[in-house]
Amino acid sequence: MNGVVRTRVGYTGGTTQHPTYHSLGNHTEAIQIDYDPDIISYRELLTIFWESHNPERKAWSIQYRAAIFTHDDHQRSEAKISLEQIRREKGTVYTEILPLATFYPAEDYHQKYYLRGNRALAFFLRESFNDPVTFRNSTLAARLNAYSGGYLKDNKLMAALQRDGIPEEVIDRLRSLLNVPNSKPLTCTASS
Amino acid sequence: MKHGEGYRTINAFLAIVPWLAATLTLLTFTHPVRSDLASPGEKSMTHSKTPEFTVVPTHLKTATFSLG
Repeated sequence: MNGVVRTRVGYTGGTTQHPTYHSLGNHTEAIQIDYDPDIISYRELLTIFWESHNPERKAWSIQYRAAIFTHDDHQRSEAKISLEQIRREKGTVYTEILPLATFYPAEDYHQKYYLRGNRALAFFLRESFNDPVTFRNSTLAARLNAYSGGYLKDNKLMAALQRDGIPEEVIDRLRSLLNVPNSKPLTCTASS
Repeated sequence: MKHGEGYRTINAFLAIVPWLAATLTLLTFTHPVRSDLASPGEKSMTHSKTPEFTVVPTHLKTATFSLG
């Protein structure tokens, strides 16, 4: 998604200190997104959010409730407007708007879940990332995770990486590992 | 300082100059100066080992959602 720079999954919305997957307390599983507001607006993110879940479905646990965790008054206002619109369209809506308190990043093995399962990139990841925090915060890892999950196709991935400023040699390496043909136009040179 | 010790010091210093120059040259090529570090308000790459795209945090905003 153009404008989304970093992603991480974690737990928020509850009161339990330092929750873990196996000791979640009253927290909810959530995704946190760092985005560039010059490229994508919060309103656009909200539109994608509403399209990505079923707000008419009642949550059967706090762990899996649908919610918007707002960071400030602007987000809260935008979220309320969007919720009212969805409510007018659909009627009863169970998605909640809550103020963000502490966000606890989930365990490393939950971060970039699809990417971790991509065997073609296993060696590349091992040699490229120094530590789990760097891996979690990497834009490149976020893009490759989307690709590995099937949300970003070959050429769109390469275009996104070029837009992000990833060096050509890294892109070429990934192109080779992922068997993505180079779509650059061939240039003919006159032979002597 | 005795007469002649000054020359010995200078000679000793001059003797290490080529080694110093060679070491600095080697370091320059093996540890290139990071000209790509972000300055405030700019986007930049960091590529020491991790091909991570970083943006100055003040420029970014954060959103949090749960899809249920």
